Amino acid sequence: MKLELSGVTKRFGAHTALDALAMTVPSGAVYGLVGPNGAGKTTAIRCVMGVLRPDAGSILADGAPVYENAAVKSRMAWIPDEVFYYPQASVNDMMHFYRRIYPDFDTERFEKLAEAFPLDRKAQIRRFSRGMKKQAAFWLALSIKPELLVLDEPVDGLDPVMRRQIWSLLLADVAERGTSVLVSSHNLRELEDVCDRVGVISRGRMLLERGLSELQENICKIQLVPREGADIPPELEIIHASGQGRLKTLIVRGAPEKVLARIEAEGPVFADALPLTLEEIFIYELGGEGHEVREITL
Amino acid sequence: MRSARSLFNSAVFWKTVKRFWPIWALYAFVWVLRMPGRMISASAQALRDASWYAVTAASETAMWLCPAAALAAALAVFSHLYSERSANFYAALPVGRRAMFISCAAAGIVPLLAANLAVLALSYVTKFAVGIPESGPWSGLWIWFAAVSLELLAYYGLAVLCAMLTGHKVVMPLLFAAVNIAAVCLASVAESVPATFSYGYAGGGWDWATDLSPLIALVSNVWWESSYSAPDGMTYGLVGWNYILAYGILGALLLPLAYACYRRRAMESAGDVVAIAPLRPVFKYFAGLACGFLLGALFYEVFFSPDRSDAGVGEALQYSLCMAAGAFIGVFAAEMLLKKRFAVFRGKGSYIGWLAVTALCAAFVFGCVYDVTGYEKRIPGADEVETVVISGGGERAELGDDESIGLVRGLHALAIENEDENRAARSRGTFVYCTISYQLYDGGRLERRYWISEGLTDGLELLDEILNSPLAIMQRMNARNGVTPGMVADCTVYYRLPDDRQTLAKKLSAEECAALYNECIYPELREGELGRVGFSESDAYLAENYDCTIGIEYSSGEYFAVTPGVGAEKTAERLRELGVELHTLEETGYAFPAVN
Repeated sequence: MKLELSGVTKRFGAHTALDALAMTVPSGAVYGLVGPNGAGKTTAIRCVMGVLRPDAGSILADGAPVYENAAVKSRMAWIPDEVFYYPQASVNDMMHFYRRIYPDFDTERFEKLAEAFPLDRKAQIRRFSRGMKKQAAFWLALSIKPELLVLDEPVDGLDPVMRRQIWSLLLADVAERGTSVLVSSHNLRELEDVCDRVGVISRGRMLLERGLSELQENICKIQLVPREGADIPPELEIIHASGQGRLKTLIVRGAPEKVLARIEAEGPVFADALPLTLEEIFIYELGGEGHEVREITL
Repeated sequence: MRSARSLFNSAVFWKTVKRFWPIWALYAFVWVLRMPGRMISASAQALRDASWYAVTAASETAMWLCPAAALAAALAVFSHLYSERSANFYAALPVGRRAMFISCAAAGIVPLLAANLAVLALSYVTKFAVGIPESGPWSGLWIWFAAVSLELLAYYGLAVLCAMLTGHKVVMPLLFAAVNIAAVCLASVAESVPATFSYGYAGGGWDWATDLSPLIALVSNVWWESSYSAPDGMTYGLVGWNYILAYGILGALLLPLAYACYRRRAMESAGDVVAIAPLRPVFKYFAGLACGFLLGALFYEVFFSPDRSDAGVGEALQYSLCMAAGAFIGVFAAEMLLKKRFAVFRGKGSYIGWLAVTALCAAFVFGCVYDVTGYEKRIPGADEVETVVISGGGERAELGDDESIGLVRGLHALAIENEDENRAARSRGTFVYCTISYQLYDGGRLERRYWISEGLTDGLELLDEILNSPLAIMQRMNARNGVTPGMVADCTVYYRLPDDRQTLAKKLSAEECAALYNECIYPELREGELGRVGFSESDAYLAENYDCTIGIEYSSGEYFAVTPGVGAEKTAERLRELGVELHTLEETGYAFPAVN
């Protein structure tokens, strides 16, 4: 399922949570939605799921609007950060409910997934730990056989083994059924391993949206000891510079090979290009948005 | 083409019904106890008509059980709207809002109606098993079913609408309670303004407030009654079907309105006091207005201890200030609830709103003071009046002849002309309390009340002429035209002697009583010599009335009592012949005649 958001604006009173947000989740992709706290990620997800009605803009799933569209929603599943279940419900109760609500609910698949989730199916979910509730949510969501799975901080509270288990199930679904996954998380190291595409959102606007490899190819970290008296080439777009003495660390926008070639043309004592992690990209990109790490002396 | 799926979702319906089964079970249990349970327990001692059990239950238990059950049901089935997590969960389900609303709303009312049906069936089984008789053309059990189901629908529609208007589970029952009684409460508080500032104000005209308060309207207009007819014997029925039916229809009509609110409702409103954004200012200023009237009346009473007999511009200013203080509390308390914080005193918006509410309150007060509607001066034309009910000196007469109506209009005009003197007399406590109620040909009613100064001799003479005319006396005394000894159950004459604190009682035989009534009392009532009412404890009143009361109890249970005055010579003479010593009040030293 392809998801397209264009010009989506959502206001809560005087506060604008989403400001003409544009975003595209290609079919069969794992899309990481990242941003600082309060950037509007959860609001965007609630709009995507048809929970909130945007004040402006459109949200289309395979070309059809999501809001008040039961047919489209039946092909989507959502695991929010705080999962809701009926207070007295067990996993079995919820399975029965979902089976009647979602036309594509696959009971056979549900039974097969029981092997992956070692939960008491007859126990009340409210008595489960946070991690167990998340497991139950994944169990039920994967049984729906969604074409779009929307995850908000999906692996919070899960142990490392279960995290790996869940990601493996999700990626298998993506590979076998072409499921699209929209995932919002602050765990960027984990996202880096699974995402094809990343969108960085800040103050309700899309700051940048690219394929992960494209993103990593467009920004690089350079360690440099320049020649005595030489300056850094002014045409380089330096996002961040640090370092003591002659050794400098630069975060430069541009392809690593091109940037390094330009620096080496100045004859530095030492120059090397290093790849950036998603977390570093996130930090440096948002630094320009006033979201940098501040040095505060207490 | 729309599929049935878009109208109703059975999964949501059944899930909701199963989740809240204790509500339906408890509701059914109370009715089982009240209907078949009561039939079984009562049958051993005294069997009553089955309709009696049904109509008493419909007019007593239903009055509290229906609103309570409807509130609990609406609160339960729409409880998902009051927490962000559950609101998100429901909104993300592949169920459209229409289907969600219909499924949830049906899950609230269908089990209650099903419980009614089950109780009806069980009552029939009990009736036949125990052998409880039932008379009348309509089965009382079906009357119970229809009345209770309609009342449930009425309250449920209202409760669902309340559930849609708020996003807070504590506010919802408060809102439901407020809507049920608000109109009556506000009307009674608002009435204190004209009662204080409008000369002659007698209340009334606020029936619409009762009709707009469902709980009050149903409680005060629905009751059971019994009647006897030859073929059926004693039958039992329910009074107030127009209210039950009207509110049942209103409840059903409120459900589409509630759906319209549900469609517009933003899911992020979970936890908000008012869930529908355009209604927030309405809530704020309505709260301001309500508190302006309610707290204004309270503050005025507490801080100014008003003398209502002489309230003028100064008092109106005090009252307006009190209302301004009340409105301030209302507007800013509402603002705090809406914004969920206490710091709401910055910004001009709320202050402007408060000033507007205060101006409205003050306009109402000064409108009463300056009689902008012409209320105080209004006297209906003689051709407008069908009948008039006038009371004074503790007696009341309903008169319909042109002469009496003309006299009452004259008294009314005199009371208006002498406003200042009457106000002063009320303050001093030297007045005759008088009420006038015109029944107009157009179906309306015009009511006034006055404290007529004892110094206003013209007024008192008019009152005397009206209430002591032979016609008025006959009407007031409800005198029978002829009494036979067989009609008399008891006849006693109570009287006192000078310097004796004891009340003496002289029993008359039925024959003596019938003769006294037919030969003396009735003729003198017709002549206007007996049954006259006095308007004060003046010397003349004490000198002209005997310290004596003739009491006749009829076999039918009716009671007739009359005090003879010195002008009732025939009656006085006959009493003396019967051995009753007559002394005027002046002689015995009492202010009121002797009674049992």
